[in-house]
Amino acid sequence: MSALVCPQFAPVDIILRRGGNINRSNYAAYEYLRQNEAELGVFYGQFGATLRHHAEGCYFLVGPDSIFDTELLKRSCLHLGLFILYKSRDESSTRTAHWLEIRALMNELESLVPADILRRAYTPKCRDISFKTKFSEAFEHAIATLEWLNFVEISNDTVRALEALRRFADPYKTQDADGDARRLRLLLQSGIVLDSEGDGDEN
Amino acid sequence: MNWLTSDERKSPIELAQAVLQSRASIHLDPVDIALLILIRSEIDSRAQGTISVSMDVMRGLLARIDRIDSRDPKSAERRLLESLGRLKSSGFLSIFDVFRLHDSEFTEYQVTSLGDALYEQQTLGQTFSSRPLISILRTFIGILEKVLHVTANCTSQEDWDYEVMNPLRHAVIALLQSAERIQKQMDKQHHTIREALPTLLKEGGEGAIKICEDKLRTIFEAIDELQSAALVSVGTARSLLEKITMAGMAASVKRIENTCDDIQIKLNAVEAWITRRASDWYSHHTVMHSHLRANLYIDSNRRITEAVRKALGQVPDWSMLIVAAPPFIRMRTDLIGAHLRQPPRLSGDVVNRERQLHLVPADPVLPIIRGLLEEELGKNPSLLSNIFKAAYTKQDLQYELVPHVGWIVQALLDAGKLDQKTRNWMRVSPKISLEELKVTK
Repeated sequence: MSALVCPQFAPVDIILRRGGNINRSNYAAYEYLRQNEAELGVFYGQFGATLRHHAEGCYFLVGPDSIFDTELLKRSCLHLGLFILYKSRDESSTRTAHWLEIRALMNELESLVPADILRRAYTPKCRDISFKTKFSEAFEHAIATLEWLNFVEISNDTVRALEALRRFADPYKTQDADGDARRLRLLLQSGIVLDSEGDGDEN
Repeated sequence: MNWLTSDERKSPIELAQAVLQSRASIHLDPVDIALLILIRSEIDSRAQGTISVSMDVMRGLLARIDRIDSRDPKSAERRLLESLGRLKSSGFLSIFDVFRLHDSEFTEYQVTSLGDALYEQQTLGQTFSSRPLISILRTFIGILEKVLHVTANCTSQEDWDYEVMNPLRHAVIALLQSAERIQKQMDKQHHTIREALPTLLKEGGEGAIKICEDKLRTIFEAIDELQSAALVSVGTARSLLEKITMAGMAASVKRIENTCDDIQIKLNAVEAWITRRASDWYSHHTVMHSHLRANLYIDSNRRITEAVRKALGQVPDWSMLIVAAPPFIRMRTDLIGAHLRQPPRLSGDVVNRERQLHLVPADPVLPIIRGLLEEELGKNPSLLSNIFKAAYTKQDLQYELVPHVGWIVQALLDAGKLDQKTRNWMRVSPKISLEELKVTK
C-alpha cells in the first residue's frame, strides 16, 4: 500500500507542511516516516523540498528552493529555544523528567540575560518604557510558536524540549574553517541560515 | 567547622585560606559511618516524626554494630563517645539543643545536612531489586496450591473453615501485607536514586557516570523482572484463587466467595502497582539514558553546551528557514499565478464551426453550502466542523462537500482571525474526520 493512502499520512503531512517536526517521542508518526522515508522523499521532492532525518531523532522538511512558502524563525523563538535547550542539559532537570516551569523559566531568563539583549532579541521595535509588558507577550508568543512547530511540548504550565530542539545546537557543533561549505551544509541539512539579517516574518 | 556551615559569601581562595588557617580536617572510621547510617535509618523509621536520637538509642545501635564487627562490649561506651566526637567535630552530627540539656546523659543528637549527604551516598549503593517481591508472590502461590490441594479432602464447613479459610484469611493476607511493605521500600529506594543521580553526575566525574549506568541497568532489570515474573505470579495466583472459589461454591461453603474476593482485590492492587511503577521507572530510565547520551557521550567535554550558554548572552546571528505551506495541497492554477494568458489563435474553419451546446445542470450542493456558510459566519466563533456537521445532519451530504473545502476555508479565513491553537481532529460524519478550523471575529 502506498504511504500516501495510509491513515497516518494526513496528520503527518499537515505538521510537515507548516514547518513542524515529527519527533521520535511521537512514536507512531515517526515510525511511519521511517518506514516510508524513500517514498515520501520522492513525493516532497516533487515540490522541490527535502524530507530530512536529523540524527537526534526527528523528521522535517527543508525547502530553500521549493515551491512551498518559507519563512525565517523569529529571533525570540531562537533565543528561547536555546535557553530551554540549555536548561534541559542541566542534570537537575532529570528529576522532573526535563519538564520546566514556564513562569520560572521566564523569570530566570530575565535575571540571567542582560536586558539589552532581551530587548533586541524579543522586542526589537519596543521602547524601553513598555519593555516589561511587551517582553512577556513576546515570550508567550515565542513559546507558543515553538510548540506549534513541535520543538517543545507544553503541559500544565510546564514545558519540555523535544528531540527537534537539538537542531538549535547545530550551528555550534562545527567550527569549520571553510565558511561557505559550512553555511551550505547547515542550510541544506538543517535549514539554518547563518548571519541572517533582520527578524523573521511570521504568518 | 565554620568553613563547612558558614553562610557568608566568600571567594574560593578566601574559603581555601580559612580552611588552611583553621587546620580543618575530616577523619571518620568505618564504625562512625556505620553508626551514622543506623542513626539516620532509626530516625526515618519512626512514626512520630522526631528528628533526634538519645544516647540510650545510640548505645543500642552501637551494640548492633558490635555484633557484626565482633568487638569487646566492655569498651562500648568509650568507643561510642569517640565515634560521636569524630562525627560531631566533622560536622556530620550536631547536638539537638531544643531541650537545653547540657548533661551528656540526656543530650540528643541530630544528623546534619552533611550527614544526610553521606547517608544518601551510602544508601545509593544499596541493591535495587524486585526479587523480594517476587519471592513473596511465589510463597503466596505455594500456599494457594497447598490450600487447593487440601480442598479435595474437606467434607464439612468446619473442615473448610479450618483448612482453607483460616490460611487464606491470615497467612495469605499477612504475606500480601509484607508485599506492600516491600513496595514502599522499593518506592523509597527509587525516589532516593532519582534524587541523588543528578547531584552525582554533576559532581562525580567519570566514576559517577559508571555508578549511574549501573543504577539504571539495575532499575531496568528490576522492571524486566517485575513485568515478567511478578505479573505471571499474580496471574497464576488469580487462577488458583478461582479454582478454590469454584470448589468452595460446589461444596456450598459459606463466605468462601467473599474471602477470595478480598484477596483478589489485594492482588489487583499489587498488579496495578507493578504496572504503574514499570511505566514510571521505564520513563525515568529513558530520561536518564537520553540525558547521558546527549550530555556525556555526544558532548562529553561540554563544548556544545558551553557554546549554547555563551550564545544566550547575545542576540542569535543565525535563523532557521522553515516551510510554511498551507495545509491543503495547492492547485496548479494557484501556482501559475493570476495573470491572464492570451488564447491561442485558431484557424478560420475552427472558428466558423457550428457550436455544439451541452447543458450542464447547476451544482445543487453549492447554494446549500453557501447557506450553511452564511449561517456559520453569523456566529462567533465560526467552526469548519459545524458546516460539515450541519450538511450531514440537515441535508445528508458528506463527500459532496469535499471539492468545496478550499473556498469554504478561504471564506472562513477572510471573515476573521484564525485560532492557531484549535486544530484537533473532529469527526463530522460517520465517514469524514477533519482538522478543526476556528475563526474568531
